[in-house]
Amino acid sequence: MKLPDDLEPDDADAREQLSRAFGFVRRMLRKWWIIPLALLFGAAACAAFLWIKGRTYHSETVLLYSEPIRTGNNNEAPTDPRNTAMRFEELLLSRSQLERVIGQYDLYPDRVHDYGVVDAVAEFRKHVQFKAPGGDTFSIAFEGTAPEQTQRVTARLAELLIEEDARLKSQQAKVTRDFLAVERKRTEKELRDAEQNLAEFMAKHPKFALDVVMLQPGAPVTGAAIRASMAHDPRPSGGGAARAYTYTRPSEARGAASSPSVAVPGDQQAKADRARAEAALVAARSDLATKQAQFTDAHPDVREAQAAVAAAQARLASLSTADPTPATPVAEAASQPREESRRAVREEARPRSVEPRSAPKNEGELVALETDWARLTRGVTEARQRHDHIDAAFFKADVASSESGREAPRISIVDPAFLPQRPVPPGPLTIGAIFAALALALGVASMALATLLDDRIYSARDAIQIAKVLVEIPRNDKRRRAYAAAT
Amino acid sequence: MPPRPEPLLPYRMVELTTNPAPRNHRKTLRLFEEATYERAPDPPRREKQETEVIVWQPPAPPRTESTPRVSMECIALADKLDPRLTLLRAPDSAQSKAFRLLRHRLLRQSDPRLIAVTSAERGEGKTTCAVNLALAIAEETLTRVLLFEANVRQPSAARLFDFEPRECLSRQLSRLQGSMRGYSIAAVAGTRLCIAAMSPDLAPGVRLDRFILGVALSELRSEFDYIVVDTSPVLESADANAVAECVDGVILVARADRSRQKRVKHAVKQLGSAPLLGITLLDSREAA
Repeated sequence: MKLPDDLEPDDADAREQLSRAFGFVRRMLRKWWIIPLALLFGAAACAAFLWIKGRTYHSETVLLYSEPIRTGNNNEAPTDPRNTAMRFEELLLSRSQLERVIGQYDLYPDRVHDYGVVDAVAEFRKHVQFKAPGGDTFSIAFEGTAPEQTQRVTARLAELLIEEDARLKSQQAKVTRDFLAVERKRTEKELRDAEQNLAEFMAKHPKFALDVVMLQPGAPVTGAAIRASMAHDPRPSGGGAARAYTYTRPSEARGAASSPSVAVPGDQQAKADRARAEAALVAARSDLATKQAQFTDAHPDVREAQAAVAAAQARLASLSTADPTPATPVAEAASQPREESRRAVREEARPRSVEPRSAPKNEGELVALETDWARLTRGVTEARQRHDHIDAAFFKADVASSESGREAPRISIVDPAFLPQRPVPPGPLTIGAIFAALALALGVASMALATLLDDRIYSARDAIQIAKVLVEIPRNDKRRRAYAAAT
Repeated sequence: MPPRPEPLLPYRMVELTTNPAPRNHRKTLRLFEEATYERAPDPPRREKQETEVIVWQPPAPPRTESTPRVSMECIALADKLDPRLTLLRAPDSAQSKAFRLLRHRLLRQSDPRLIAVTSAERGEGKTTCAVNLALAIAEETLTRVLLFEANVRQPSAARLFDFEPRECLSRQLSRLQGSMRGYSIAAVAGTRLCIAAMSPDLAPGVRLDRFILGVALSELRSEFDYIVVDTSPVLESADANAVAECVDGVILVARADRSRQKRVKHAVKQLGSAPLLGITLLDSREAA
């Protein structure tokens, strides 16, 4: 054992260090009263926490989202589930919705009274959970202070979401329908105006109205469509069906018209047939020339035109063979104007690279007329296309806003809100144990801190830091007690 | 020596003789059992019947002007000793052995003859340490020890031995200003310890004069082999500094579990250049 004066301030071998550690622990244990004090404080804090927190009950409901009724238009892309979930969450947590629930079930009356309904809504939001794990299902959960109320509030939240979604959907469909109705009327008017302009043009220039064929509604006015319609019903028909006009060159028309058919008694019908065949041939050639001006010879339309010309020639040849009447000079003379007209058509169909002053004046007027005719026909076609498109959209909007569309729900309840049987863990015992552990740890830490901060002299090692220690007089508890009793 | 009168009651007494001669003259201290002496004309104010204090004054020796006159009164130990008198209550205890060890280390170290015992603050055991150190030194053969109480703020030596000083030491010191110098000292029966104590009911405001204190200690130094001075706490007044200037060494007493290092350091710093012998740690748990 070392005497006090043998001790050095920095003497610290392993045993001394261990002795110091034990000495520190012993000093800590002298402050044992801190532990019950800390436990008492922890108990008070736990009681206050439980009183403030109260019991919390949890209820949850699961909803399923299904796509709306399709109207046949498959061009619409499917809705992203994430966007849908975000939209539903915004709908659920909107202030107006939550205010309704707060007012209906009298939630957070203290907050409403002290801070207003806005603060109550903020508090309500903290206890509402919206989860969208993925797919088409999502859940709504609520934590309340009473089991029955929690269940009712959860169910009401789901109902509000469904109602709000249906209302918005109906409102959107109605707005869309109204908009499309207006657009439909406008497009109808545009179509009528375009048709009227074209009819006026045709009335001014009847030469453009030699053939009237019937086309399918909405079909573009093309040469192939005309030929197809001619193959089904070459005769014109009335009503609201779309009409297509074939163009016959005035030169060819004059050529056809200038070649008077010699009325041979007995062969009047044959001559009429031949005239029609010749007119068809002219039209086919005109169409071929137009196609050749636009496309190459390998283009299908050019080939169809060539086939039509061949068919018309064959037709004419067959009629000529059947009628041995020699071709009248008019007919022979008619071939020359046809050749001339063919060349004229080819020249006219070529791109306008010819010097305008080199073109004859009647040719300029012809070009202008053809341009106007093309513009008017294109206008009618486009107007009809727009009208048809708007009409289809209006049909879909009408279906969506109809009763049958509204009654088709998008959100359905898969799992209704359940009645909670026990509070949300942790319970009072668990909370109490946690507080006790924390209080104990706090107490031990306080003991250690108090010991560290305690600068009292406990042994010679503490006093040696100040001055030489002469002797340590051991403690005598009996004497201390006797002295305390005497004084 | 004058004849001894017949005793009236059996008691324990100590016969003392004071020799004004220098130290080399032998002074005798004997313990008599059942000796009898006549009651003094003016006995002390003890009312106990079991023990009586006999004041016996030998004839005054011839004195010179430089020789102080020391009058002694013999006090008997009470049946129930104060718990702080460790060496008297339990001479064989560990505490007593520690005090003897303290005595041994002091005598081995520098053998100071005038020792001041103080502490940083009150209640740290300086009186306990002083009286027990004095008792330990008094156990030495042929040793005269005086416990000089210089604590005017909280005098407790008289209470410790349960007696009333015939004259308060403070009055004696104040009278030293005159030509007559004299000390009234109590001798503890059964020991070689003498006590110069303050009155327990000393009036507040009494101050120690540094010069007079120095004169008194220097005069008493010629009468006793060792003088242990019980002073006031260092941090409560400057009396300890005044005493420290007159002594050969100062012992600073600290009590375990009570004294604070900061305060003790401050006390050491305040003592300054005083000859600090060391620290005595009381109530140490680790030494138990």
